[in-house]
Amino acid sequence: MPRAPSQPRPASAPEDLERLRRRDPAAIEQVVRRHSADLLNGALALGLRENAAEELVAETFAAFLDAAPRFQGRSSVKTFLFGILYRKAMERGRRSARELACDPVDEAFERRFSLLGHWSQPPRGPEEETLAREVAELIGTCLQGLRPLERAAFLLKDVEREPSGSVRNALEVKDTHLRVLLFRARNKLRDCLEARWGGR
Amino acid sequence: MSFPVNCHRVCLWLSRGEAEEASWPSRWLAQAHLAWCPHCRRYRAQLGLIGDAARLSLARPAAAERVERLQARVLRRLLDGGRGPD
Repeated sequence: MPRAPSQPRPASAPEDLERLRRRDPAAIEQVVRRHSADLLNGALALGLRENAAEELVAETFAAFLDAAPRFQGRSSVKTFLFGILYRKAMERGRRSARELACDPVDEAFERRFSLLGHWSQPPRGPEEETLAREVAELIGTCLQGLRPLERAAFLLKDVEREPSGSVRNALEVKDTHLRVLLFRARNKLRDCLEARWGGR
Repeated sequence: MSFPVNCHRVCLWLSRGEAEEASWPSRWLAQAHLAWCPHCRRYRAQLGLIGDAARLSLARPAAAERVERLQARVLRRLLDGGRGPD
C-alpha cells in the first residue's frame, strides 16, 4: 500500500538545531541531503561553472556548521544556507560586495517619467502570465547583468519567495538597502527583457 | 517614501517591494492608481512575469548523480573532520 505523504517537519525545529550544534552526524547528513540540490542550483544561478558551484556548496555547509551555535532559527535553515552561499560567492571577490552609490538603471528609470511623475516612455512588451515559459528562455542572459548582491536579493525574494525580513537577515542588509537592490534587479531585468521584446 | 500617487511613485513602490510592509493608505492609493492606469498595470504584470520566468528558468534540477556525488563529497568533508582530498 502506498504510504501517505508525511507532513515535513519544520526545517528549524529546535531539536534539529540542537543536534546540529552538537554536530550530530545524522542531523548533518539530513541537512546536506535536504538542501544540497537547491544550493547547487542557486550557485549555478549565480553564473558559476559546475566545479566552482560544487566547491561553493561544500564551503557553505562547512560555514553553516561553524555558524550553527549562533543560528537562532529566526529564518529557516534553507534561507540561512542561501545567505551563506551568496555572501561566500561575493567574498570570492569577482566584484566588491559594496554596491555603487549610483547605478545607470536609476537614471534610466527616472528618464521614463515626466516631471509630473507620469509615464513619458510607457513599458512595452507582454504582460500575459502564459508567456512565462517564453520569457524563461530569455531571462538567463539578463540575470548575468545583475551585480551579485542584486542577484542574490532577487533570487531570494522573487524566486524563493522569502519574506523581506528573512532576506534581510540572510544577506545582512538593512531595509533600505534591500529595497534598492530589488529596485535595481527588477528594473534591470525588465529593461533587458524589454530590449529583447522589441516593439511588441 | 512618500505615498504612491502617480506613475513614478507607484512603479518605485512596486519595484522596491514596499507593498509587503506598507500601511493601508499606501496600499489603497496604489490600488486606486493601478485600477485606472494601464501602463502601471502592465509594469506590475511584467514584474510578476519576470519572477515566474526566473522560477521556471532556474527550476531545471541539477542531474541526480551530480547531486549525489556532491552530497558524498560534502559529508566526507564534514564528518571526517578534515579537508583532505575530495
